[in-house]
Amino acid sequence: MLAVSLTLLVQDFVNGIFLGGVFALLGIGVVLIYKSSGVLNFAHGAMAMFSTWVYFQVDRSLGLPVVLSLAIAVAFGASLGAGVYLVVFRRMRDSGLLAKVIAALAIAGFLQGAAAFIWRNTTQARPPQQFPAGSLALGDVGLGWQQIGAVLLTLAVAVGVIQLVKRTTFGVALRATAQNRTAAKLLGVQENRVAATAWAIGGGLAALAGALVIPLSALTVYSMTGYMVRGFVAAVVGGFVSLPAALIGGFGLGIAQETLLATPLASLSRVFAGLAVAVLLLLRVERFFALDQELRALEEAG
Amino acid sequence: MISRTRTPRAAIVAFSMAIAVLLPSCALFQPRRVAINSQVTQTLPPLPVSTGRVPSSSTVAPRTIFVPGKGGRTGKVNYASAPGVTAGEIKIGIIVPMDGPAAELGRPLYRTTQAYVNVLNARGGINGRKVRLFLQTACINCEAEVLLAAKALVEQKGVFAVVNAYMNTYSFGAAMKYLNEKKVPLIQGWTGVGEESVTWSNAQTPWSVYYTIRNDEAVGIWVDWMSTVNAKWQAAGKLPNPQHPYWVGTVALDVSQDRRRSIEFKKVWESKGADHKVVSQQYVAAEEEAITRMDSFIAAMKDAKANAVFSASNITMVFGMQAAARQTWKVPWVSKSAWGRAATDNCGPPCDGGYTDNNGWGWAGVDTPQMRQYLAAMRAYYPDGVKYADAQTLGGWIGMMAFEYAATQLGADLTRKDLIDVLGNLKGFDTGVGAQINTSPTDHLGMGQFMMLQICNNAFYRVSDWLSPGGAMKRVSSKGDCGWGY
Repeated sequence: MLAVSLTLLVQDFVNGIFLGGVFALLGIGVVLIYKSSGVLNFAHGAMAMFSTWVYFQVDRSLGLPVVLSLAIAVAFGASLGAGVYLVVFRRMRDSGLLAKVIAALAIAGFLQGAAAFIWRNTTQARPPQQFPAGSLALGDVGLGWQQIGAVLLTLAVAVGVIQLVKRTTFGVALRATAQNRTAAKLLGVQENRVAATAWAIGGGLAALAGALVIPLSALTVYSMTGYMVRGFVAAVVGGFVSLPAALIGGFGLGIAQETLLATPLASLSRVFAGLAVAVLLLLRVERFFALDQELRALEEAG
Repeated sequence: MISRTRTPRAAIVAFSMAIAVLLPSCALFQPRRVAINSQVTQTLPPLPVSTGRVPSSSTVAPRTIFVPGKGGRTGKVNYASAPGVTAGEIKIGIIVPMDGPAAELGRPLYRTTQAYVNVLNARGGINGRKVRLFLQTACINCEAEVLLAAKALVEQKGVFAVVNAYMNTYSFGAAMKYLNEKKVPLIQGWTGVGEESVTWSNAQTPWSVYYTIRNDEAVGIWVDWMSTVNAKWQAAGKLPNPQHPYWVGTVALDVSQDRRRSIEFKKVWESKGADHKVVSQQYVAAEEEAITRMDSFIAAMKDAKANAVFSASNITMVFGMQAAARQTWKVPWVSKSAWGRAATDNCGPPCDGGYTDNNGWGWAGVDTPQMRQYLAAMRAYYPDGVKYADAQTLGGWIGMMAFEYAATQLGADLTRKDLIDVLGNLKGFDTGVGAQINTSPTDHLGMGQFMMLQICNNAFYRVSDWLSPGGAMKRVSSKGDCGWGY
């Protein structure tokens, strides 16, 4: 007899939507960065963490409205992303994938060390929420306004970024670079500009993800590492190429992982992300979301 | 062609992801996640009430009231009676993390110990011997590094004893074993829980003493306190499930010591009668999303019709009460040692009404000569320590008081063996700061009482005198109630 409480199932499902949004924002950033520069950005979590500390610091030091603090943090995240590309990865365009991965890990370590130096390894569990502190009660299920607001904002931003890539010149240039770097250059695409822009968007999304989730969690110099791993799982769904797939992957992972908690298979929830990576890689699920041409081009670039 | 190019990328991705999972996992096991009760926010003086001591059930001898600087032997000339002891000096060591996330825990403990040593030396030392404190810093969850620190203190600095080492994690096991093999006394005023295989018994660690609440007695008090609170809430018609007032839930971090505490709580709670039932036991993984996942644990306890929650660690109380507030689930919470800034700085209004204990380490508002000494020393040498008088600072002070007492008793003939014999045979030892200490050759864990505190408006308030299991769970002040009832 496998008893499942409906209330618990619904509660976990809505928690999963919230967490899934965070995974999706990170996953989209990872995909953008990989498409533009061939870098598996393992510093993504650290970039999110650092920008969230900036969000916290701006709020505490300047006492600005929370929206402004958030805007400053996202702008900082974008600058950080662009800066990391221009300083480090621009020079590594022709390096192998492994070298880039090691560089990304080094940047993650640097950012964690810098955060520890600046903020002295303290733990802050109450950075400001962007949405009211109360909650919406749906029967026995409670859903915080922060969670509701975060999901709506995530969806809006994610759809906006997907449309940006789909409909703008930047998007065309990004896709062209991803599919055939040489041809894109011959056609006048300035690959460094495209990549720096993609890194900036990725950095901004990471900052947004951190600022949305950390008010319900705790802020330390190691924050966001666990979320980053889930963001990578979201990116794997689309083979590090498809943004809509990363969006679906993020929400799917969050919902699946959290809903498992309400079932007799709750203990699987902790290892679900790892299992998902293995299964997704084995099934080559990216085939459903990305063109062969895009996948091949990225293979060769890597 | 494609398959040849795919394989290396897939391998690299898989390898990279493995690294990315493993590295953060190491970070996630930083004890900041398990215990971030670094310091306490409190209003000083908090409560002008008497100490109101309740004799511990294990008190078998008259009280020994120790006031630092008083007593001691005279008449014999000091000599080099033991390693680390000369006619004019006693060398002691301390191992704490001074950097990294755990520095929040290590620094107050070190600075308090140093403050005590400063005061001690200013009044002439112990029987004319000045005390010299050697600091070794070590990463809190690095067993090899902690062991090296212990070796450095013993073999290079030549210390006589080690005091107040931070040992909240399994990582202190090797160092503790080493110190016991070398027969170096380890005096723990502030302490958490050691390695699973290392117990508090004289048999396994005969050269170590610990002055903190015994776990079984702590569980007994938590159970009695929660039972009393639930009875009051039931009488006031405030419980969400009045048909079963003693159905409760537990929440713990999914680490061995918290799990054990939770299981022990269930056992003792359900031994109170057929109406006492733990209907939901939740274990929170020590990983990042687990914190946002507290909503799920709260929903599960709510669903099981629990009327109160016992939290086996501070962090589960902080984030659990926040989630409970989101879900408008108002029940009493009792937590193991959430006496720290984690609760007040990081929780805010959702933690109002939460109960926690003081680990037996006292309360700065209690007016005794010894507490006045503590406050004066801290004001002089560590002003922040007064502001945040809490577990580390009070516990560290008690450890040094015990050391001074034992060394003073031994006078010129100070040896390691005699020191540990005195420290392991304290009967009704009253520091005037914390709970009475009672040790015996078979029990080196010294305290059987604690006080109950309550959180209200980002501050802690003492709401009880010393409590013992089976004793009266009397509330002595309505301050800190925040409208939450008993």
